[in-house]
Amino acid sequence: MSDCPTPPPGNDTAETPPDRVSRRTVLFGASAAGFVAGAVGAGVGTRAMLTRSGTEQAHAQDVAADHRSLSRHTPAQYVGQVHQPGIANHPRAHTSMVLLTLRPGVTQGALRTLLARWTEDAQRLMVGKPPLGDPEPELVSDDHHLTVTVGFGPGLFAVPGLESSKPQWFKPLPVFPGDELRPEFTGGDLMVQVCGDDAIAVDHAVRMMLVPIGSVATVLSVQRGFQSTAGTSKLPRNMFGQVDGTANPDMTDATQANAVWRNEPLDPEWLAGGTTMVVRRFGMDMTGWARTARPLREDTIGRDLATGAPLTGGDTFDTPDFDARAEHGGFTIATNAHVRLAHSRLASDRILRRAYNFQEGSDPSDIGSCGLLFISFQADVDAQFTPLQQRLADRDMLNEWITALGSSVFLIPRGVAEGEVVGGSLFAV
Amino acid sequence: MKTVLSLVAAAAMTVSLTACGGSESSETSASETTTSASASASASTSATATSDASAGASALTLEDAWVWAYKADDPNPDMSAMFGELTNTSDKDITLVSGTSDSAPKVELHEVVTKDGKQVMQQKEGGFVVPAGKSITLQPGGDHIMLMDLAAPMTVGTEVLLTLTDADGTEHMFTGTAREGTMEQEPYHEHGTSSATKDAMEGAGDHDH
Repeated sequence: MSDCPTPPPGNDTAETPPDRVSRRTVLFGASAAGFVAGAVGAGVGTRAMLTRSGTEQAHAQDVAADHRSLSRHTPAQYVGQVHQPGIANHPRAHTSMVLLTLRPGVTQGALRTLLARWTEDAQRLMVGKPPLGDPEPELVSDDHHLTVTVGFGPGLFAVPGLESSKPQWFKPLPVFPGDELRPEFTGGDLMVQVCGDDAIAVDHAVRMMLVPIGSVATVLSVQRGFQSTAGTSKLPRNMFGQVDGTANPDMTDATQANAVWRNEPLDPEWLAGGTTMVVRRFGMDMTGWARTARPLREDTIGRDLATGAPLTGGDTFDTPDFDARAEHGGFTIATNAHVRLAHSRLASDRILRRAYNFQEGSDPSDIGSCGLLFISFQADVDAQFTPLQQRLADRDMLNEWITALGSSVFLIPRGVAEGEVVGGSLFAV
Repeated sequence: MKTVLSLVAAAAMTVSLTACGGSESSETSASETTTSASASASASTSATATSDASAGASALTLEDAWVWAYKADDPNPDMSAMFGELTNTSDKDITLVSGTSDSAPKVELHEVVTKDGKQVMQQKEGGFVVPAGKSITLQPGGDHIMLMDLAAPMTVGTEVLLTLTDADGTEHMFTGTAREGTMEQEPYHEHGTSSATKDAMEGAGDHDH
């Protein structure tokens, strides 16, 4: 991934190490695939989770046996999971992500009531039962592999009584060079991500999740995305044609998954087994990219566009040889190629990319009409994501064709046990 | 005999708390606890504290029960309603004729009909008949249990205990938790509602009928 691309599921796995992801690279590509795994159980480690059922672990093992199918496992329930769904499982075809802003004066009690309702409705949606009072229950009654993921932005902790519950390191992302952030796609006190195979079901599920927000929050934006390879063995590609997500950690490998799941003694209980989510919306200059000769596009990425293999040879999942020299003496993979900057050399620095594409308008002069909804999960934003994004923002050749239009970061609470509310112990004190 | 079903939980699915209590406060956590406990019990048939009754023995269950929570733009703050799927597990038809609730001074069994081209709700003549071995659905825009003359608007998370009495005089108890719905309140066809608070009366004003 380096770049972007995602690999096929299969592989990623292991090997891998290195890529540092660079931001853009990251960005783009990422996707997902790589990770994929579905694995739920993987993370382990974390205290809270340990108590949950062995089913998931068993499942993870099954999956491990067949890496490819593994990644395709989508959790079938919201409740009773070690980790929230929509992270380690293979991305489905569609996503709709809502960023919300808290209303002034919201109390802990009102917030908790909303989270309780979300927990209940997320569970119903994921098992194919429409939420109570759903006016169009048919839209979500079938199995659309819906997943729901709930996250907390830095602003959530401004609610009276929650100030001291915010981990000290948690803060908004810095603004990176070249960012042209639009307010509606930036920040957010609460986040709901719904993924699934059917766009109508996904949209309807989002609409149902928004029914109870009334007195608590307002919608900042709803960002929709699609991804073409769900349910197939092909690698996802972004709108520039790059294969995405090749360098994701193998989420079925507990060691590699440690790069994603939080397991810090100082963390609050509700975050142990959780993660952090970065959402960066990148507009892509489709016209400019299309005008650029293919060799230059490949040099920019550092990969063969057809296969996603590094320019230094091998196939899609092979680690690029960053020391290789071309005949003229320069590096085969340029010093400012996306794949080089996006590469994480240490396995512990890798991020889990789970990007979606978007196409919202037809005005080619508006960079915001088409692009990549870059999404990554990592245990430590400051150590894993920010340096990567900084490298990319500073030097990536790809910056000529992409512009960050949105930027958000969320804490993703651990999975919800039976009888709990998402983020539950956050309010227990 | 009284039978109690926990609806809440009902939802069979359950997650948790649905209920969770109203927003603030201490009560909240108490009710949450209750709810989640019943929720995990799984089904809709767990017995709830209150009653004497032989739970489980009831011929009537109410699944996926929920109660209309007041929204800022609802016309009638002194009204709410309860919905769900009523199932008659016995081999005799059951006709429900009246109801009571600690949460509402007045309970009526309503239907929604079209009058002069408009949807209005009114009391259902003869009550609700739940055929032997069958279910009927209580839902917005259809048959429902009307909770009236509320002293204060129904807030999200409120747990409502409802007793329905059938033609034989048998009482059936259910609980449901208030949550926001997507629809608007239907206009109520009869005048006069209530008595409740001044605010309620003003709010209800000209909408009711």
